[in-house]
Amino acid sequence: MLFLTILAFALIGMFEIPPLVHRKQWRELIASSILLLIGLILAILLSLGVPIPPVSTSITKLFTPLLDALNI
Amino acid sequence: MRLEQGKISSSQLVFIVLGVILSSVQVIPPSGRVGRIAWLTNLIGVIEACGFALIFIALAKRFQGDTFVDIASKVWGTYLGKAVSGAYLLFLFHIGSLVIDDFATFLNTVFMPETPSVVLALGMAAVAAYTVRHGIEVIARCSQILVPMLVVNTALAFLLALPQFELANLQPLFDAPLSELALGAHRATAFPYLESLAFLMVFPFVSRQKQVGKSVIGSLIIGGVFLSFLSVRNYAISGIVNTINVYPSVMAIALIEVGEIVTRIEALVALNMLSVAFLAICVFMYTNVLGTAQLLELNSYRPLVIPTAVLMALVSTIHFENYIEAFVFANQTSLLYHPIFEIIVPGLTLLVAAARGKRNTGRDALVSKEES
Repeated sequence: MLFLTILAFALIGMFEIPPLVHRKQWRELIASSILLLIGLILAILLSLGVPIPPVSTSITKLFTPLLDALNI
Repeated sequence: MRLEQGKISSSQLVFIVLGVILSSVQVIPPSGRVGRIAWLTNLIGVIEACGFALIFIALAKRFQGDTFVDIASKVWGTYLGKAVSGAYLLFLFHIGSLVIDDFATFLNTVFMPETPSVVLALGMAAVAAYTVRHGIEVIARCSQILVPMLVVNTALAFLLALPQFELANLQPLFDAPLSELALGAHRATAFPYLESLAFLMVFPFVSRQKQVGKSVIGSLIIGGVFLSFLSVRNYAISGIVNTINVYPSVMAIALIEVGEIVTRIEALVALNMLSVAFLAICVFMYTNVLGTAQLLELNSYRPLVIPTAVLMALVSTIHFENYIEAFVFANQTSLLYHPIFEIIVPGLTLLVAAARGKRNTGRDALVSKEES
């Protein structure tokens, strides 16, 4: 599973990066690489089964005191 | 260099806004907390939404030809502006991946229980990424085909469902306390209707700028009436059971039976869901990558599309641990969380713009650049 994840990201990288290097668009290269890197880290964590706090439920927890106070 | 060369007409804008408004509600209906009077809260919600929509329409009028990222940097200054538009872009990313999650969970639960939902999410994100790379014009043209198809499908299902209608299910008509009515209306405003705020990134590409406000208000009203029809249909068919159905539209349509031949046509709902979810994901992904490219002063947004799509699909799998959390988020958290970005941020921006006397001088606007 981990191997497949890394392979998929390598394929996306091969598709995305060469044209940017060719056109010397360094800013674009850095921006898309950072996004891709975040995606890679997240994908590796998910495929290794590392527990990640659920995003939207964390927002709900953040708003819970206010929601309770307003009695919604 | 302009990031987006395309132009869309104001009628195309109506169709895309409709696609966004109708996206999640096929699955998580805005009737969650109010039950039978959902049709009424939908209509009241439209009035509230039109009122608040006037804020960002006024903003778009004041800064004609600017996207929200431009507006924020003009009004709030360079650094604070970047922070405000960064938060706005994160919000767009969040609701975009929420739509992917809604869609993938829906297909996973109802039609493809054996398929892991991350596969469905990645597939949808890939199609959306392909569309987004081709620009706003392609999304607009897709919406011109998909939204009328949705209306025809729904009208067909409505006609076929007429024999199952039990109008007594809708009575008594107004038996909810006023507070629930107001909260239900606000819920409809926050969750589907004012998500049209994302179009602050798209308004500059509408060819006739004067029509923008009319188009948005028009599509809000059409969308609201449409949603009311859906609630009436679902309630008239399945009655009070509707409040505990996870997917009311599917349950209602599944009951259709015409002469023992036309049965189990709930795939129609899936078709509708597929088309509008696709549109909404495209819009949120497009506005997010366009905004990011503007924020980072890139020459093109296309290199960001695939990484953003992958990230959106991955994040969509870690929103909730179970359906209850999704329900709580949609019916309670969204009442406070969505308005922060939908009402407070554009409202404050408009106030500060008025106080500082900022408006688009036209010199550096996207529109005037094209004319020169």
